[in-house]
Amino acid sequence: MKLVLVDDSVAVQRSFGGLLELVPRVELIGCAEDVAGARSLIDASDPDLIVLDLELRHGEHGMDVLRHVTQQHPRTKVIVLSNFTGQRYRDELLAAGALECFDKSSQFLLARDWIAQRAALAMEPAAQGSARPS
Amino acid sequence: MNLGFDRKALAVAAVVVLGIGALVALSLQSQSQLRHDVAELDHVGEIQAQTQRIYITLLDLETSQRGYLLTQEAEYLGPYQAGLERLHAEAERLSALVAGQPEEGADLARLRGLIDEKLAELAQTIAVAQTRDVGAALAVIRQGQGKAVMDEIRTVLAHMQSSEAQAHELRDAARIASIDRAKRYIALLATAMALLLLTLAVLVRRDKTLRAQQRQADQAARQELERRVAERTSDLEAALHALALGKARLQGIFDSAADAILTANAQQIIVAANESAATLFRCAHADLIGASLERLIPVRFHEAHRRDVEAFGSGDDRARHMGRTKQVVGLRADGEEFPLEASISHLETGGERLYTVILHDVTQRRQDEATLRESKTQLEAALASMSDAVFISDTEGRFVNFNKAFATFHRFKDKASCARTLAEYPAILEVFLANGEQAPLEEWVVPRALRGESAVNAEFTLRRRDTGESWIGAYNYAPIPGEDGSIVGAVVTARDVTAIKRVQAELAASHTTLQHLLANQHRIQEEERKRIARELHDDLQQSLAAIRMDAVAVGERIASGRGDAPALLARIDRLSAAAIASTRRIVSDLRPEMLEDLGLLAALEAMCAQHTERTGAACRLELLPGASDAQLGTAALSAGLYRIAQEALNNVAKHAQATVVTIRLGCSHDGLVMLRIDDNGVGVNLQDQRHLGSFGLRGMAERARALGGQLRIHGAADTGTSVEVLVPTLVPATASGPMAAQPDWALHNLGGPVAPVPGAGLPRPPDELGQPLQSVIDALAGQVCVLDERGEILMVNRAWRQFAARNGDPDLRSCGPGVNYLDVCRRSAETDHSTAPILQGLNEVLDGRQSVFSTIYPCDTPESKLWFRMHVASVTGGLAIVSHVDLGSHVEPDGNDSNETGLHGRASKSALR
Repeated sequence: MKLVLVDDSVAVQRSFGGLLELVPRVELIGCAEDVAGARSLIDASDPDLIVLDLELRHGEHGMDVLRHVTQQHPRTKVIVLSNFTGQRYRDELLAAGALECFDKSSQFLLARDWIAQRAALAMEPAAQGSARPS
Repeated sequence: MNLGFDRKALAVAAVVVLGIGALVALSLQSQSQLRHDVAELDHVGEIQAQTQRIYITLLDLETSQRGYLLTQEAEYLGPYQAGLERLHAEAERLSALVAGQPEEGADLARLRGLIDEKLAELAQTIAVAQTRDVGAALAVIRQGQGKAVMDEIRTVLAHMQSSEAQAHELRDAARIASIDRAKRYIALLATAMALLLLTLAVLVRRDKTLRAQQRQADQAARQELERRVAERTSDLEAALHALALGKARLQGIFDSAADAILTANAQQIIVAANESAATLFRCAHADLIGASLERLIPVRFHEAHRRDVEAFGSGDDRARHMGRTKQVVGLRADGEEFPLEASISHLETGGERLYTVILHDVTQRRQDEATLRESKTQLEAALASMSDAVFISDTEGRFVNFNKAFATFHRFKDKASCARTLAEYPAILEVFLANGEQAPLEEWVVPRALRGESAVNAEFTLRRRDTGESWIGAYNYAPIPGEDGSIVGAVVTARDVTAIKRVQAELAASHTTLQHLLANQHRIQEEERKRIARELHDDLQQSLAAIRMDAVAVGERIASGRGDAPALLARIDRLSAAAIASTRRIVSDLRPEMLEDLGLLAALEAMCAQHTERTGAACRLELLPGASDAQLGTAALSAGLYRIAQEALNNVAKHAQATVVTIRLGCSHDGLVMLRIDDNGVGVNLQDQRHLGSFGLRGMAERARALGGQLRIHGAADTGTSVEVLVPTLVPATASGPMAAQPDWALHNLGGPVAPVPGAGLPRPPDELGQPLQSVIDALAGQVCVLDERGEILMVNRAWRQFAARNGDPDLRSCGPGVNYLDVCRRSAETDHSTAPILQGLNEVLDGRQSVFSTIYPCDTPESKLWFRMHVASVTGGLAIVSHVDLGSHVEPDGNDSNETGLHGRASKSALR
């Protein structure tokens, strides 16, 4: 399962990426810090899953990335990993197309578990995908 | 004409009467003739009938003879015998009838002979027949004598008849001729009568016409006469009515006149007097009549009076007044002398000269005039002492009273050069309403007050037409009510509030700036918070989250036996160190600890070092003489200056492209701090207003104002920019800062700084200030009292009394004349500390240290908070006028007093009134 991480903090990119290293069948194919970087990365790589932060560089907002994905890449799933976790915010994000919302400081393990489960469920198509010559 | 007609008519009528008499006579004559004729005709007829009868009787006799002769029967002789008798009678009657007619006499005589002859024949025959025989008788007859006699008789009778008829016919013809004559006469007379009647008719008709004309003329004349009579009657009636009315009036006036009326004759003896005269001279009415006029005049004026009377009697004046120019003195019965005004007239009636004198006791008036003069003097003294312009206008707009301040207020040189009627002012002044529109004359305060409006602090802008000088006047105005409630004038006070308005405007502007400053500070604060939040998020939160993730990863790696845990731990350490640095930086930005710990000088030095480090420009701090932290006073001042310097350096760093930056700090000995930041960069364009906002210049300026100072910026393209701040260090110990102190100053000393007024030693004015001052203060809408130099209340106005009555003190026991107002204020200050400044201000005015004290104080009512202005002004002689004016929620003129009602009952400072 190809995964893209969008977060303005390089430290977080590195640390969360380190946590995902041990998850089987998850491949972190890239990281982005702002909306433009995220869009070009996603358009280029067409990932299966995006882990999205909401506060991005230059005051940009992750919602713009989410909209782009739901419009241009309907197959791609998005989960939110952010320091903003109010219920209203959550509901809005879920309504906009995110599958889940996790708190960056306290729920990053839940997020990793969700990704691992998703990767396991997607084993069959992933195996087929991986069998394909690339 | 009339008479002529009468004569003519009389003559004609007489002729007619005569004619008629003739006619009647003629007619009577004719009638008698006719009657005679008829009688004659009857006579003729009778003669003829008698002759006829005689003939028939003869025939009867003959017939009877013949019948007897034929029959021999005796019975046939009956008629004969009867006939003989009758014949004699008839013959006798005929004789009587023809008696007097000679022509008939012959005939009658012959007839008688013949009848006798016949009778004889008859008697013979019969006798023959009887005695002899019939034949003999018959033979006699045959002899024919009888027949001849009979024929003879017939002839005589016929003759008689015819002669009678003939004679009758002759007489008849004469009569007819007579009648015809009479007829002619009658016709003639009748014609004459008819003519005369016609004449008469004509005369009558003409007379009638004449009479009708005459009548019409008479009627017209009569009507004219009647009209004239009616006219004169009505004139007369009117005259009589007027006369009666006049008389009644005169009598009424005479009787009921308040003035004494006396009528005296030429000898100066009083012949009539009314009751008022008796009352005036304090004697019985009866005593006046018959008395000499001199009795009513003091002896020393007798001679002068006599001269006056003589001069008057000979002069042309029918009536004149005495005493208008000189005093006329009367003498009452009880010996009292009194001033009076007299008007005298004289009248000649029937050769007698009468003088009527109307006398009016002017004692009261002269007293009133004296009182009025005195009051006016007092009023003018009071007005002169007032610093506000005060003027009183009558209903015609004439300024009957105004003070010196009035002249000053209107920019006149002195009182004498003031225009004294409202009508003159439009040529001198222009008046503008609050909205800037020019006010027409009827909107000026005097016409307003004369219409019954009143107002407090109504502001108008005035402009002299000659000099163009313009100023703002705050007017109080009110109508002056007369005794009957009608408006008899207007009282107006005015004060030049131009300076106050300027201060108020500055205050308002300052207030607006303060609002901006507060808003700006709020914005700055919000932005700072945002920035801090972002820094916390960007730095701390992310670092801590990463550290947690790495810690978990380390644990997992240790658990799984992987050997890259030390690398992760090293990263955790780096992240932690970065987090600590971030925290320190954030905290330091929030509260410059160096400023607090080491003072402004050290903090500015550090700032310079940081700036150099950040931008590469040479930045240094230069301390001017007197610059030390000890001089800088409060932390607020240091912090403010630090922030200004920080902002200035930020601007330099962002925009100036400067290579040298200098911060200068100095303190002057009179307590001013100067901070100045100069750079040699591109300079700021001060013409571009956007720079002021965008470069944070406004923020710096506002900070400077918040410190009670000023910020100046000089900028030029080639010389860079300099920012200079001047702030005071020494702040009054009693107040928290200049800004906080300013409202107190503005409210308590509206008149501006005032030099102490010498006046404590001046003599006290009379206790009685007089009615005019009372009526002036009564006309004022606010509650006004007048105090003496010790603070005792001398008089209060109507509004004051009304207020006291509403608050349960109708007799003004707690706060009215006789009460010391300072005591009232002292008592109030014991429970209400905010009264203390009022007490102080009041004392200052009464002591002469201030001429005016004014303050605005609030009164809390359950409904709302209301504001009052208390104004204390000194008046000549240590007096003071205190007024409380309800400002309500606005200070616009509203034309009524409703803003006063029901407010103060619960007001905390109601005890002051």
